[in-house]
Amino acid sequence: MNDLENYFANNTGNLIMKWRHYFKIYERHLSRFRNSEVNILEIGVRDGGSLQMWKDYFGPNARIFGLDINPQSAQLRESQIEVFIGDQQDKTFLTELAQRLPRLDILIDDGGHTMQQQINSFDVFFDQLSDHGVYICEDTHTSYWASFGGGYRKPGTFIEYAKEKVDLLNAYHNRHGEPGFEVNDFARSTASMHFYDSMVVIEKAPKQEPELKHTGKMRLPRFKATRIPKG
Amino acid sequence: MNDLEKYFENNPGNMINKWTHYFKIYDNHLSRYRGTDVHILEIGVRHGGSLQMWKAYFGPEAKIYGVDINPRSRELEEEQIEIFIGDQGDARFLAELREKLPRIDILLDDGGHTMDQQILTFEMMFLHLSEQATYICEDTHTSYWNTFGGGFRREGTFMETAKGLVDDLHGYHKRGRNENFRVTDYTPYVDSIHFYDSMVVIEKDRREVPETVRSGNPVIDQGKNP
Repeated sequence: MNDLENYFANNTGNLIMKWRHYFKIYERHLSRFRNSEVNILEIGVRDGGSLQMWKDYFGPNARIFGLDINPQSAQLRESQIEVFIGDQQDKTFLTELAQRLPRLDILIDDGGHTMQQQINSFDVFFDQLSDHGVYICEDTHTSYWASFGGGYRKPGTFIEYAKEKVDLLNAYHNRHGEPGFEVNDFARSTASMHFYDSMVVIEKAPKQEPELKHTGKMRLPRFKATRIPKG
Repeated sequence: MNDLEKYFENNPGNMINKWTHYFKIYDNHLSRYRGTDVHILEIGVRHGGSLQMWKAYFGPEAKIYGVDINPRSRELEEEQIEIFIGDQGDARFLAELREKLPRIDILLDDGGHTMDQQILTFEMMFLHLSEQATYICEDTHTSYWNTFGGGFRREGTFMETAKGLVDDLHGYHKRGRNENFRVTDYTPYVDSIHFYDSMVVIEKDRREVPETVRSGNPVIDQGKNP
């Protein structure tokens, strides 16, 4: 068990509801922020249990922000934890919120899980994340559920949106000048995208033109394969 | 610099030709196998330099296998390193390779980088790999290059295949009647899919139906927003 699993198993604080396999993924992508001055925003507060978990996990220099649509969540404020009330689908509200918040290092979207909520939140907050920030969208199986606006390979779901971003990780190799495949802010600032059951993790890092390099001794003469490609 | 970057920069052996950002990704995904009796297969040997690097990195218990289409590659065999000659685009060859290598913990496809090669190799080898294996496909930017059978968002490229696997990953959450969205052969064995510039890493693990868990005290009246 990692520390988060431990905390969860012995939780004496407020209610936490998560998928069991999330804790391992959190640890993998977030442990490097422990005991630093990390700023984290979690959308979807509910009973505030996971905000308390982050406070415990990241340590005394962390600042934990929550966003929920339920006004009652405001009472969950405590030291290191601040809660904002509003609608994550409302881009105007999100943009104002982004301006009020300090630099964010981690964003976890565990809000309403509808397509427009997830996409609008990403659109506003991804650029706001620090250079080495991490964006996590949870419960992405709703991308396949009609009641959340999802559908299998349906354009406009969060998963399909994320798949389009995957191409941009390769934008430096846009040989044929394809429109929509140019090096843009996302390509320049994103290192990797990680897909798990119900979770998408996007890691930022400033990127440069990739470089091919060789070292060591040549051993064999040039060889041209003679196979005939199929199809 | 991690140990692979150090090895590469001071390479005492045969030529290695890699994109410089690969070394960090390798270390992130593969360091857990160091010092074990890991079995690694790299398709695309060239001068054999990366096979030597894996040997240095994984240690004396590791078994390193290479596959190349150039018959002369066999000259690069040495202790811990065995090389097979064949075409990764040939299903019969890959089926034979599975017989010869009953255990593979890491597969790196740095072969010919065409769509048919990358996809056939994945389809034939992935489920054959051991339960907690790591599959790496390299130079996936060829998925966007015409000369390799690629094209931006074109069906039938390795990248589009890998994106399709993202749907398989969610198969346990099937709802509704769409027959295409279901638990596939891959769903119980794919833990995660990681996309980088030019590289796709697929981690295997045995998966069951996921479950939600709760602990702690409910304190907020959820009203109509459960």
